[in-house]
Amino acid sequence: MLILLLTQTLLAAPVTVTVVDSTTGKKLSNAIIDCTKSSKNSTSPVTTTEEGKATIDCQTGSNQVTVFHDEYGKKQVPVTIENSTGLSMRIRLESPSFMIVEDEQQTGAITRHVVSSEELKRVPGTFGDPVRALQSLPGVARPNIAEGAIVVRGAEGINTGFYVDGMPVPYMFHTLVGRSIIIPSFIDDIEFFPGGMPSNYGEVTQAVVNVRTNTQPTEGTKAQLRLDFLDGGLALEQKINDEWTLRMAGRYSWVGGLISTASTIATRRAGGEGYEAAYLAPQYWDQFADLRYKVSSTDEISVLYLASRDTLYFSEGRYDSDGDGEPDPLAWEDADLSYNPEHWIDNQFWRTRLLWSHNDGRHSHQTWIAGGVEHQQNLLGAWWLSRQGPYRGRVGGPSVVVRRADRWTMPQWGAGSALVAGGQFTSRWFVAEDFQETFNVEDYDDIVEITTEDQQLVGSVWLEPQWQTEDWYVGLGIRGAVYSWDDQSTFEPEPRLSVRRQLPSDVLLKGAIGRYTQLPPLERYAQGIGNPSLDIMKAWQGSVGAETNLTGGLHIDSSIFGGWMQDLVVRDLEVDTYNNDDTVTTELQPYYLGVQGLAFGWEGLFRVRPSDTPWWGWISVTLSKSLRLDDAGRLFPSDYDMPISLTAVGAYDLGKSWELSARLQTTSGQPYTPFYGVYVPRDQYFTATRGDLNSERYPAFLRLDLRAQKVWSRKWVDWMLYMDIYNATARSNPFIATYNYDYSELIEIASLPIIPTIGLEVTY
Amino acid sequence: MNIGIKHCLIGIIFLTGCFRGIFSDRPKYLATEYVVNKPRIVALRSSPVEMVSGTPSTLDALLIAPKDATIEGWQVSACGLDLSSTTRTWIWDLLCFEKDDAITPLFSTPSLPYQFAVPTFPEIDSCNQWNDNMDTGLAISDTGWIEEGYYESECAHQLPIMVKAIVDGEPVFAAGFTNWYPNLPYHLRRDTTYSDAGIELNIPSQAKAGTEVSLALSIATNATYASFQWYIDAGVLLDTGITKAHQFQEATESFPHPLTTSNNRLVIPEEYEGTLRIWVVVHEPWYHDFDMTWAQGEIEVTP
Repeated sequence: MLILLLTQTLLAAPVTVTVVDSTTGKKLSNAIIDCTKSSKNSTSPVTTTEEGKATIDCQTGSNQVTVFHDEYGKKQVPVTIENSTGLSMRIRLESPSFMIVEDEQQTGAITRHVVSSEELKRVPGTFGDPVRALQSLPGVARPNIAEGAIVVRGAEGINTGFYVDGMPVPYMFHTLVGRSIIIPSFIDDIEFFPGGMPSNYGEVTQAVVNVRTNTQPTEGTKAQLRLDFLDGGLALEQKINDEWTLRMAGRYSWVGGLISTASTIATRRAGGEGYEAAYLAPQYWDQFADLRYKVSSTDEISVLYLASRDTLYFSEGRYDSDGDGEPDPLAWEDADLSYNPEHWIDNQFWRTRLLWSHNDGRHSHQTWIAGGVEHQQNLLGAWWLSRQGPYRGRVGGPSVVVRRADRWTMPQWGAGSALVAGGQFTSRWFVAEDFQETFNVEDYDDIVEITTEDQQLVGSVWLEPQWQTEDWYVGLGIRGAVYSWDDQSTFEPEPRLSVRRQLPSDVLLKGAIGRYTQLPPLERYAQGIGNPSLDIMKAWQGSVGAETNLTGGLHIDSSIFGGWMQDLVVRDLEVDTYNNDDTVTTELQPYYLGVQGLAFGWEGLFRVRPSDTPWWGWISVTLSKSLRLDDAGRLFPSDYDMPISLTAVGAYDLGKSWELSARLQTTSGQPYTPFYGVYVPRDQYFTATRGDLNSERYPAFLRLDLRAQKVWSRKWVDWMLYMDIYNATARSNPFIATYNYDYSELIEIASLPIIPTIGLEVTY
Repeated sequence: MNIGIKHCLIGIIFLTGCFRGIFSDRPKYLATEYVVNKPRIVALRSSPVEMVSGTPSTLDALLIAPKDATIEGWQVSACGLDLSSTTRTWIWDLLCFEKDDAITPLFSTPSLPYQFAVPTFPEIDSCNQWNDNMDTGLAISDTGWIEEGYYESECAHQLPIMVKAIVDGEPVFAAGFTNWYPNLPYHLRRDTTYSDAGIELNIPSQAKAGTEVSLALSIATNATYASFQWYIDAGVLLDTGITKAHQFQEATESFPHPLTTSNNRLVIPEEYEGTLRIWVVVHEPWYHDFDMTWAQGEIEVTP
């Protein structure tokens, strides 16, 4: 027995384990650690300190280190100890923090969807992008293709406002590939208001997506490298000391480079020169940096930088027609163009913000000023590619936003009560350029560009007392906004009311009503490409619902909603006539019109949250109708009218860090305007005439996405390998369709096929 | 900028066939689409073949459809006809019909042919001088063609007419372009049209399924430049759905009109039984859109 004791003592090795939150890096105390070599050889468990550390004696050889935390659950990590010196290791526990939450300081937000951050990142078909996972929630329409548009409750895409840490950004998703412009590892949570926004949100009529990167403290050092076939990204978070924190990230796509390389190789193999290769390729990148300085226990100053660029680049190939061994210049290269015609789509922006945050427990405020430049260029004119941004033109310019938002706790009104107030001023100096004429010219010397300049000014103030008792919440917001644009100005009141009632049976009743206004984008009212008569968009929204928790971890959230929208901007096609002496030429051109909109429906969310069970998931259902009425009395469905929408997401933990998940999405087919064949005897062929706007529908949409991931946890580094299969059944869901020769049959032109993605995520 | 997309690679790694058909094949020629499996308006004619302000015109159309189809009505309209404008207007495409305020309804009727009054519109005062002073080589006194009330000027609008039929609740369209004269031009009085000529479709009245039958369309005019478009309920046309004139005979004493004949061969399907309908449309492409004629026949097919 003594020999056995001595043997065991000689073979023991100390293992120092640091336990951290995988999302924030926060060191976790009170985590219980156990080290087991076999079922008969396990050591006494130890508990981590405030520093998240604990040292446990393991035996040399292969062991299993088990960590258990009340809030995070259990995780097992294999470790091999080679000698009695032992080793140190870090174990990351997956954060249970909710990613889509109401603003903690705005408890009156009625509509809140609460989904775990880790759930969102693991939703299949989103390429690991939690912002895209919003498309799986009720009330959110399915986008056209792989784009990441968030169209909510029957409104238009431009009626969803995007913010990063409360700072407005012109767009949230990279064009075509649909990835958000914020690298996922930096996203702490997402405020998502599908409607009923509190009074501190304005200049948007339907929904708000606020991606927050600053709600969780940064602890220590965290680095993450993420690679897949589309792009690669690196993120670094570093707490320099008690005062300074730095976060930086960058991502760059190489899919465009792969395409150009493949095209060049193919051209050379076909006997041509490399410069003759023609190809169309998307390229994108994004950058993020955030430097914070903690001035005191109550104040912090930070500087944030955010930039993004998307290009759909067309290289038409060059030729050496004069035989001098050098490729000939392209026709447009000698012209004095104000744009690059090879950039069929070119969207880019940068923002810098200086923020002062204060919170002394009774009073908090955020005061900031942000500035930047943006522009969006679209030469393709493809209606299906982008419902936002200009149609065959470019719009953009500098902008400045100044904001102050205060919150005072008012315990005398009731525990949790508060008074919220603030103001915001925005100035944009934008230029809209119409390139429609230039797109069709043969001679660049004949170029005519139509340019519109405008300075948009928006000033708003808000005041919202929030009464909170044990069972009741009432928020009465008063917001007013002054808009100045296109030599006109208007004042728009925006009252808002939200009420919640907590019933004893763990049922929460909720209701909200409010008025919202939004300025139309410059390209929609600019001369040439827009409609100068457009007015401020306005909407009244209301919703009533309930949510409850049932046994087994089941959560149910159900609401009915309605909205009436005025001067909603939609894009249609009209016939323009051009008189050239006695010949009248007609051409179909896009134009924007202001319409009234009516949307109503029911949405439900049924969830099983992650807990002790190995599986989690949710089912989201929306039954709705979205209609538009124009001044001519035309009543038609909106572009995103999908009466039935069902999404089911589920995941199963197989153990040994393997997880499988699936997402099934089915919706009504998207409306489209049909064409009818018109036989023209003179030409013995068929041309077409358009039918009623959005009077037909594509076939019902159905898509299954699958995901499998495996995590290897080593001493300091976690390796996650995943395969994400978009449209796993390769179902054809057309997003571009044309007709046969006599317009009697719809023929699909393009649909996304099965897209398997393999990615690697390395976290230090 | 005129971008010529030559060998454009829209290839993204792992995305194969994602844009299949984006540079799709050209439309099938009507020569092969002659079986009547859906409603189509395949011919138009008016008398006179062009529109004259304030005068009666008769418009007819040939709509072919499966046997059980029901034609519920017709609507005919013009586009770009400004009843107060004196400026000549030429419209070369049909997009005009997407502007509601540019459309002039001509008539609605449950059946065709239908006679209607062409809307009255004013003289055109902005014609090209070359046209106004064109020497036709015809002296008024020599020919006698120009009678009182007829004018030499050929100044006219060129505007489209859209013909719409409702068949089993669904719209079916055809359109043509024609001249709109403020006054009756002499050539409308003088010229003959295809619909003026006698036409005969020579087909067997009976045939057995699975057999080949000969078809012949004869028209009593010089139609050597015309196209003969054939349509059938079922089967295969060995000479395709479009033929040209195969025989031409000048006028003779016994038959005082030119005679043009076009032939075809029909293979009747093995399984067919019943009445098999055949239509032939005679039209000279790039001539008057509304100068067409047609003939119809039936073959009783037995097993």
